[in-house]
Amino acid sequence: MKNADELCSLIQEIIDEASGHADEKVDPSTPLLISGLVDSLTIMRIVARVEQRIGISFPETEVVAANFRTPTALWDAIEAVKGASHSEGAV
Amino acid sequence: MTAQGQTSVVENAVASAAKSARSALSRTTGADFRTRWKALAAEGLLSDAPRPPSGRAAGLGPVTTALAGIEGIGLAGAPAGLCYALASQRFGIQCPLRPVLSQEVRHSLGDVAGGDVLLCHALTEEGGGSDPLSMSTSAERQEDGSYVLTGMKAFVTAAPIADVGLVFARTSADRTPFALSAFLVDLRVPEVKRSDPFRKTALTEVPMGSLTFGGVRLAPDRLVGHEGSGLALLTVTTAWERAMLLSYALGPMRRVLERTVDWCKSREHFGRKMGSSHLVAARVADMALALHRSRELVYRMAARLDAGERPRQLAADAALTKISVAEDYVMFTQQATMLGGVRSFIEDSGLCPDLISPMAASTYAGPNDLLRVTVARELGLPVEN
Repeated sequence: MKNADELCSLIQEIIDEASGHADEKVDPSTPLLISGLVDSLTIMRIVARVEQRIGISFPETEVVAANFRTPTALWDAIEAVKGASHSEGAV
Repeated sequence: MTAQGQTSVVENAVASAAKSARSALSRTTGADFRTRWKALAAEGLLSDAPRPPSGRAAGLGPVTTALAGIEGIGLAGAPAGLCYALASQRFGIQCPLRPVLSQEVRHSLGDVAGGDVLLCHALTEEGGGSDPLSMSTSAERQEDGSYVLTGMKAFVTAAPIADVGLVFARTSADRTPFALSAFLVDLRVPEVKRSDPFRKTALTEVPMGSLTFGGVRLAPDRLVGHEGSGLALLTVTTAWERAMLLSYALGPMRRVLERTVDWCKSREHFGRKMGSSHLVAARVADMALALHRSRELVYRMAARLDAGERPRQLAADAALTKISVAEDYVMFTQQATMLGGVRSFIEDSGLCPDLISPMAASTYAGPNDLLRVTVARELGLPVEN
């Protein structure tokens, strides 16, 4: 996964799986929380799927509202986690 | 290491833990819970960085080492409630918190590894624990960044005696995924009231009770992670619990199997050894099957965690492990009860199994029925709790 648009596709995929159909198109600025688009299970599923796709460990302590307001906010958080793990010498 | 080599290394670690535990248990026969806890902790089980196993137990990861330790303690005859309490703190609190807490905060808790400081996991309230977003305990942030904790937690293992609680509380009134936060709460302050121990019927060796927080002031560094990350942390503590908590049953199961086999070999009826009956043999084999399946599943979880798999990635398999071991434990105990005959109901017969505690395993750390819903949902069914 290389950018926020690909992250949007992933989020869309997970929301579609949960609801069985897509009511709303997810773009980088879609408010995920205010619209009630994602519930707690969906959030945890997004985190797990992002970890699998990118091969990072997303710290539990970063699973907070500020990082899930929009796909762009989440992408920024992912980039920050990637940066931190590179600087620690982790893969 | 070959699979066979790994098996014998695990067996050595279990045997070595059992040997030290036997001595710790015999030194503390009849002593209270904390004395026995401390004696067993002295063997290194609760150490975050366990001594690397040497000699014949070398090469095991920290989770597998701790698992072998728990199994060994049970094999040495520690009561199931004590094994449960050790497994619950080690795997349900210490392991998930290790990557999250700074060394400074860990240090501030006191000597957890040595057994001086006892932890508890305070999530469940009178209204239940499986629907955390409905909790009412709240922590209100003050202008100076501290929090004030108010509310009540119920059915908390070790609550009557624990020193520090991992307490989940709401930091937002809304029912959103980010409404919860986790705190490390010193339970020895006057604003924390403890109930008397509940008169429970399962795992009676470890006390359970409720905690009431009457405006407990918490310094900013008592917040675990960031505000709002409580549900994510909870997902991890529960994944660890489901993967590893039932480890406490393995030692007691091995003991019961050993004594049941001895009984079937020595007891005579109809002019022959009881164990020469095919029906008896089949029950013994079913017990061995339940134990084998349970050990394989829990050790597999430990190996995956040692290999660095993220707890949330193995949450679904952890749920299956928990359901399977809990239900096998019940079936196993039923077989032992049948084979013990009337002695199964005579306390000092040496063949009296604890029928209630295995049944209780199906209700804590996520009731098996709700875990089944999780499993089915992961498979794609449109089912919700």
